[in-house]
Amino acid sequence: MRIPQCCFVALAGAILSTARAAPAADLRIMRGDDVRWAARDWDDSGWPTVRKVPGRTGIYWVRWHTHLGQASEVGGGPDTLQPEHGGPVNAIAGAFTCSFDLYWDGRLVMRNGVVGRDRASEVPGTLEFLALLPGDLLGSGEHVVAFRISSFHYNFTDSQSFGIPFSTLNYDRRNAEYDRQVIVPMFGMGCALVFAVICGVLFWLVDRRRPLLYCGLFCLAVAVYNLLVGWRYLSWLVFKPETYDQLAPRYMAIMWVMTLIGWLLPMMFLEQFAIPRKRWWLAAQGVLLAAVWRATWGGGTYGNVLWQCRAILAVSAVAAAWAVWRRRTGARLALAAALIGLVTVHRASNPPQFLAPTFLLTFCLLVTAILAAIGLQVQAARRAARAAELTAARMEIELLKKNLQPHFLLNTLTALSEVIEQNPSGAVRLVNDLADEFRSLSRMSAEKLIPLGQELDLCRAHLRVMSLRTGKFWTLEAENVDPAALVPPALFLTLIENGFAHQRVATPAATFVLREGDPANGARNYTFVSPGEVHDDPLRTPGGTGLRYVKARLEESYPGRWGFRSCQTATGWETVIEILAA
Amino acid sequence: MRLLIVEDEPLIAQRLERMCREILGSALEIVIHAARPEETEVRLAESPIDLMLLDLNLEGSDGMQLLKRSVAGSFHTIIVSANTDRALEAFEYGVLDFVPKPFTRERLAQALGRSAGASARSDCAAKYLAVRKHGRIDLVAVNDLLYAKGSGSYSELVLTGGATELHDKSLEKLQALLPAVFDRIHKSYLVRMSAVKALHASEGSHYEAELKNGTRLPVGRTRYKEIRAKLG
Repeated sequence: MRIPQCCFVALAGAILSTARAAPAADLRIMRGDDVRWAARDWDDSGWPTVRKVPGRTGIYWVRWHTHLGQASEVGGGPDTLQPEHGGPVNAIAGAFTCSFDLYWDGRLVMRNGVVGRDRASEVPGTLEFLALLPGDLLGSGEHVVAFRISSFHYNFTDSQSFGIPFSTLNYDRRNAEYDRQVIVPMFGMGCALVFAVICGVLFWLVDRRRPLLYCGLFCLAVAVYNLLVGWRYLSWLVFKPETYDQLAPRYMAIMWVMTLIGWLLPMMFLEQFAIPRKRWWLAAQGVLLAAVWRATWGGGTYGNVLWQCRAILAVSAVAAAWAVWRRRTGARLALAAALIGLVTVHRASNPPQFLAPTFLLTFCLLVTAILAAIGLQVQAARRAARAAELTAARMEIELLKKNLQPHFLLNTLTALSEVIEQNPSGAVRLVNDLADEFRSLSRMSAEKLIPLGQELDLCRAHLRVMSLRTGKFWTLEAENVDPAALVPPALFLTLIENGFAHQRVATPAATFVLREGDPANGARNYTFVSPGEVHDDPLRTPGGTGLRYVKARLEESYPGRWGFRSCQTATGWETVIEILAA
Repeated sequence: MRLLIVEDEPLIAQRLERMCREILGSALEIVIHAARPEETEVRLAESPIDLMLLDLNLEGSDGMQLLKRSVAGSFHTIIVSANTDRALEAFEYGVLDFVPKPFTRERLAQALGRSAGASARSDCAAKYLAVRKHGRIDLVAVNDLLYAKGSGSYSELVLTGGATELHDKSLEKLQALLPAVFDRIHKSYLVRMSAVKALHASEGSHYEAELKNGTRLPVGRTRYKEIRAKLG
């Protein structure tokens, strides 16, 4: 398997890179199995000295002459528990990737797993171990520690040998130290889970925005990362302690989870701040992470995670800087969080941690920044929705105002008074035409869109009323129109009213013309021609209430995908309305 | 009476003319029609009129501009309009009456009666008087008017600062538009009563009113007692 091999190499590198030179004379090894080798006074002067012990081989013994409170200093680094915990020395502790029996001055004090002659007979011991030393053997002077070792489950395939860091220390202090070690990753996992739940709830119940989904997944990944990092201590304190063969897969998982985080965090930024060319950004991120993997090849899990994290934050900072430049909402906070992370995230060396607790702060800041940006966007969207609702209500009122426009109504009633007195049968016609117009208007007043046929009926009823009032014969011709097509109500009626307000017709009869152009790519276009000459009125302001109504109605029903233009032509005033496909 | 009807809707113009003829009878000498502001200017230039019936909305044009120009003329203006929300504004510029549409014969008769009656006053006093000056129309605030002196078919407006302006309306027509604080003390003088300091009587039943700025204006013999009573 290629991937595990990479991790094994990395881990080996980590151990090598962090190991302090062990005094070669101290650790003595002998292949074979003889229980007498546990004895305190066994002469091991002929045994070879080593810095590391072999993996996946037969049973062998390791002896070490020590004084109380001394660390083995072999294969130190992140796995080494330093002896400065304080308190009277009464225990021995360490972290070995092997099964072993532990003898203190010739007396067996611990069996960690079952030492076997082959893989089948060996039972892997726990990675961490802590054994109380016999009280009667804690006197001053030299002591001898002897390990009977087998390591058939050692699964760092890149390396054939490993360090066996251990030290004598105080039992209670060592447990307390582990209690402290578990706090940061568990707190980080808790925070990340809470954020993930918040994002999940917001995504499912409030607003299905993609950045929320990415943010939730990012939080989950961070929670998993913290769990994996803290598992060493958590499993020791709460669950069944981790066996030594589980270390390599856990380290591999940590590195890949960081790579996953490295994909989710920039994606979150790219989505949230609507940054274009996402593929390029992700490709750059991929190249950077690949470079980190390559550069840390054999350099250890800790270095890999640290540099991956830095690469992620660097790409995110550049993305956030772009968003700040383009004045995206919430981008400044995101940039600050990424920069703080870049400056502060590092690896603490003693006690060893994957990333210093500042990673937790950076993570909280990043998520807060994204949530704040999302919140501000949702707020803006809500405002826009509310404004749209208000526009819809205002449009309805505008239409009702057309329905009950006092000037139109009172002038019509005045004309009607005259017709009643002079021509009663004409008066009945006028009343009917007026009723037709009002019925049409009230029927469509609550609608956002109506069939064009209804709109044309309304226009013609209005023209009949105006014909009687003005003493001219007004008509409407519709060419090539689809009566079932939907249009905002009173759209063309408003254009007719504008025609009456701003144009003059000298002839006793005139015709308004509505033409529908041939549809192209699902788009529609209407050309409306009002007859007559635009009169020279110095007070006429462009875009009066009529045009505002028409444009607001178009925007309400076809947001951002309509066009409106008008100009004077030889035959009158031509207005072209285009409605693009959704 | 010479009447100009400014109305763009033929049915309403027809109704106005018919009713005016019925109300005024033989007193109505001539009726002229105009449907647009430009046409109105032409008609006014062609022949003098006594009364204009004006619609405020003419084929989409704002009749208020036409009104501001026409109130500087020697004739009275009565607005006949559906735009009742602009009635107060119209009165401020010195219209005699505002007849809302739709109107009855009685309401039109009342408005026409005002224009005929010498002592008639507008429902709402004007706040401005339009004066023609160097070919343009200027508005003079009524608050600045001290007194007006009649001079045939026009009036001379004397303002508190001492300036004078010529107004095309006769003193009778002006009195119909001005607020009640102005009183006729003489057939040729219309004075803001609060500006009168004292009344003086001299030999030969010659009376004068002294204004606070020292100006002395003649007081009509028949009006002296009434004026003295008003001044207390």
